[in-house]
Amino acid sequence: AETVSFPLQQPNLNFQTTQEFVEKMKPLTSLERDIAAILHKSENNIQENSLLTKAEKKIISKMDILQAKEKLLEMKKMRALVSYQQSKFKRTKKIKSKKYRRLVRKDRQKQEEKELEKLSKENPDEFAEKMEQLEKLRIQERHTLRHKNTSKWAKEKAIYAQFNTKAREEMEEQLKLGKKLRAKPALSDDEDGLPQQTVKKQNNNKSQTRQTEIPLIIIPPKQDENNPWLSGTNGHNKPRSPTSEYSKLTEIKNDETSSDEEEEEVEEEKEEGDKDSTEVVVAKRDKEHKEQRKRKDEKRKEEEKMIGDEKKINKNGYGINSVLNMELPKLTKQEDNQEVPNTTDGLKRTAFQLRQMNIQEAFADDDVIAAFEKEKNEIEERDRPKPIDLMLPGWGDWGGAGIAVNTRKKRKFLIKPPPAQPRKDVHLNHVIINEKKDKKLAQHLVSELPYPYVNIDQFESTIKQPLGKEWNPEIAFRRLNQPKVTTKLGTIIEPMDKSELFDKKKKMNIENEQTSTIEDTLFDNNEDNDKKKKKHNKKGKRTKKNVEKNDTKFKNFTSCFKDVPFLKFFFSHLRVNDYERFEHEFPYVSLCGRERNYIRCDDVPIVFTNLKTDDIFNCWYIESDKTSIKFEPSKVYMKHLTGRIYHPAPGLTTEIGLIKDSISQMLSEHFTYDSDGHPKTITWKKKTYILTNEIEDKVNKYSLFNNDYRQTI
Amino acid sequence: MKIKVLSRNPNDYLRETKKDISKIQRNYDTDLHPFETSREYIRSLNAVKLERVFAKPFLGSLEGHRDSIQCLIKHRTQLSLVLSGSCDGDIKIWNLPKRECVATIRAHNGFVRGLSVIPDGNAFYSVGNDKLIKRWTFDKYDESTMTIVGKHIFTSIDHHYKKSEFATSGETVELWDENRAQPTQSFKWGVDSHSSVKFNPIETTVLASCAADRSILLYDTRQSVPLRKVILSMNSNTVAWNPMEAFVFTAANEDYNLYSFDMRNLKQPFNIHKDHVAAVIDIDYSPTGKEFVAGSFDKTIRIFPVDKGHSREIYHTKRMQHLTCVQWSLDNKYIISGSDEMCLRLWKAKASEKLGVIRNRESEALEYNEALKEKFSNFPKIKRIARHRHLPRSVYFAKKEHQVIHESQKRKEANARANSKPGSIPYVAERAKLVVEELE
Repeated sequence: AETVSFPLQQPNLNFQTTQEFVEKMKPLTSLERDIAAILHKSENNIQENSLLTKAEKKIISKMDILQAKEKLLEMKKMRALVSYQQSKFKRTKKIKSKKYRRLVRKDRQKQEEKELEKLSKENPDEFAEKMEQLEKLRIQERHTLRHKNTSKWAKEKAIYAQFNTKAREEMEEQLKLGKKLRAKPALSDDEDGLPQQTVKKQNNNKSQTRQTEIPLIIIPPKQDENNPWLSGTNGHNKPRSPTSEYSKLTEIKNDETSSDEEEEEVEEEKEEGDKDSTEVVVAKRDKEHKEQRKRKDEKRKEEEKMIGDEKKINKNGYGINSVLNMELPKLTKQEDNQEVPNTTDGLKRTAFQLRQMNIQEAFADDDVIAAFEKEKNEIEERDRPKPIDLMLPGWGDWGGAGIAVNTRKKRKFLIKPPPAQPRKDVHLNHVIINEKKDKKLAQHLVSELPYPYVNIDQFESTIKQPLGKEWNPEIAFRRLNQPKVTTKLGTIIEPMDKSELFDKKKKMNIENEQTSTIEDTLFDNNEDNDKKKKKHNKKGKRTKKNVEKNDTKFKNFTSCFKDVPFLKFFFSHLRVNDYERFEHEFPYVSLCGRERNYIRCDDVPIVFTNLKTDDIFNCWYIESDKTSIKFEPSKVYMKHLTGRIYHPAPGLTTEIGLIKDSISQMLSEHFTYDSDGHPKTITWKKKTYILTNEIEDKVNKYSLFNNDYRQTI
Repeated sequence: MKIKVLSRNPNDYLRETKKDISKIQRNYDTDLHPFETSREYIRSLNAVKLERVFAKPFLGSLEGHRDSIQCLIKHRTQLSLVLSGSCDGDIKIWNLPKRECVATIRAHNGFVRGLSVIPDGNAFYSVGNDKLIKRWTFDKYDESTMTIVGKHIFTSIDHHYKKSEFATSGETVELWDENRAQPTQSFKWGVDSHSSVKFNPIETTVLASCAADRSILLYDTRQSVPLRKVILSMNSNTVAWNPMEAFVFTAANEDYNLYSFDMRNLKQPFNIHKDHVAAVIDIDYSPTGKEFVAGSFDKTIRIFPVDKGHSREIYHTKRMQHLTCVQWSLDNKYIISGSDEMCLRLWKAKASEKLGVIRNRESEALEYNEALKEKFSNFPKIKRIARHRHLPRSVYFAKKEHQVIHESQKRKEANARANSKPGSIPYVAERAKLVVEELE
């Protein structure tokens, strides 16, 4: 967070539960108390932890057991059904998909049609009524033409229909609907054809109007393509029709056809309007172009004559041709004198010239050097000290119009400035040095880039970003201007609490440990599609939380943990992975039909998580013949290197299972050890058993802890 | 025919009652609000000027002591209470909002050297030149509830932040249990005098003391011997722990500077805070851990940001003499200082802050101004105004003098470097020069 708000230990701001809130409400006045007493007496109040109210229970208790059960079931069922239906409606109501809505609508229409048919057979009176209603609708539609392309919506769609198939479809649908509504109930073939034609016609009309719409702006609307008077003219002698601002503007533009480009633009616009006229215009333009080209040709020839050596031009790039034109005359003047201008064979050159010309035209505006020089000259001119004219006409002289100014006086009152120092950039042709620094402005400017910024752009962009309300919406304004530290008035700020800091860290560590010790992963590998859904499965109740934390994507998988039948099935179908697929990554697999659930674990896939008081080991709190195993103290084996304790699990593929850490810790207190530190005996329920260590081999076989497997992962 | 008429429904723009929120129609079109940067620049200029206009940090003085004030401590659970001890052996308990003395206790013969309030705030301890440790409760000031006779003069006392333990400094640093008359532990590392001892507020078993051999010592109450000893080039008067970062403490040194150390790396301070022109006597961290206040022998109080080398603020008055103690109040709002001329002074921690209730709109405007000042803080005009402080004449010239001294030293070193074999006089960072020795 950008702001730190003190004091750091904030009060608990959890939401109240309804229960908590309700408990706070207590009747205060005597009247309230009376009412509350009466209300609480009622037997119809819903009670905590029971589905039935007292009254309902009373009714049920009076029935005999079977009846009562039936009744209860019925009631339950009804409630469930109601809630299902409600939730279903709620869900469907929320669906926003247009497609779905359309399908629903179509379904409904079909249903209605069917019903209509049914009605016609069964109840002719009602059918007649319905037909009348339909007739009314038809009349309405014919009158309003609501589903034709005259509505605002349809007009908008029509614009998009050209490019957008979806819009086109929608429009067609609309038209279809209109057609259907307008059709007589008894459909005949010739009538069916009609509306389509009309639609087509309308479309034609529309396109025409659209054509005329745009030219309205550029050409006065009186113009018609059939008007012979206008076809031969161009912009100059068009009949004026000062109807709109736009037309005036174009006329003005047309009048001042100083350059080719401008004319071109206007004419291009016109092209959209009437093609006939444009052809003529184009022809004319061509003529003009030719003329200009001729002119330019002549110019070019002259230049080349001056330059003499054409190869030089060849060498230099085309892009900076105009630049060359500027400089070359100076450079080649000497050459001019020495060499005789030679005109080479024209045929070859014309093509080259033409190209040259085109390029020159294209880059006519890019006269960079000239522009620069011009700018520099202007600046020089501006900065040159100017003489001050103090003469006041009319003083000591005759004033008025037409009187010649006395030159002597003029000279006398014209104060010449002292000659300026030569500019710093006199000898630097490509540089302009600004000698007029704005001192007033410089006071306000930052001279050095401040510390956290790396470049000027960064700094400038932060300065450009306004903070005020005028430029930012309310929330952004507040966020931008948040103070870095906020304190609460009159509240003591305690020093940082160490326990809070470190406890958080500890918690995190423990959680991490848990996730790393036992981790099973399932791969849901369907053969139909090779999509892999990765699922994280943990053993033990304690890790449930971690599943959500580790991989929030598969939240619903946690529901499987509670699903006892699933777990029973899952564990009973557990086996070593020998399918030559993911063998190394997932050493175990549990089958389920065509599905293979691949399992990865740190040690053994079976972990005993619950030791009951009657010495029954449970794996995963499931009580089944396969996963509940009698605890036999003598068969316990402790792996010396890791300190982990294992127990045989007969009937399961791995034959052994790991004992949960907390239980094994408890067990380890009952061990007695020999001199090497190996456990020798175990005292369990006041009896001492000698450890047989019979499952040592199996542990070495199945336990993956500290095996190569860990390194390969 | 449809006729379009301009119509406005008064409901859209009129309030029903006076207390309703009035609608403000706003248009964010950039064309309507041009020159945003220049306008905000002007606003920030105004804001920074206003800040200086409103900078009136002095709230009042608490008078009543009959001798110069030796020690000052804030109550740990009550914001309104402050305790001060003077050189004539009086302890006074002050109510800050009322600005009056709640109680006067004749506690010791001679100086009251140190005071410390216990964590639950019901009692406090005092030590004096008469070699006594006295415990007092807040409900009865006539008599001390407990008196311990020590072997030597105590210079300071500090109570543990959680447990019922306290530490005293004197010839040795001693650790006491509240229920015993003898120290539970006594730390000694070859020095005969410690000037102050302070517990770490977060890592509560750690404490630091300043000794007369120019050293700062670190202890752990769980160990019987001191942890570390750092010898600086000059004596430190006291240290203060950062209440938000367990391993950071700052030492107020006799060489006019303050040094922030990281407990984990004592080879050099991670920051040097300069600006005072005489020995720094006392220091206290703000409860947010972002700033600290230092009182100096140069008769000024300065406020330093933790991560900056120079102070952001200086407080002084004509009448205030050498500072002996400073405290930053636990709500981060006020600073209390005690000085030689028998007065306690109450200051605002932020000089231009408005006291009292601030309405939403006003606080919004203040925040906006603050943000603007921050945004344009690098612009010369604004920087100049924001930095400008009036200094007492003595400080002003002393500062200049120190500058000259510093420059001449630098010049001398540069000359020496220029006239000797390259590499024979190495460049040494300012921070690396400070620590003489670190002992374990």
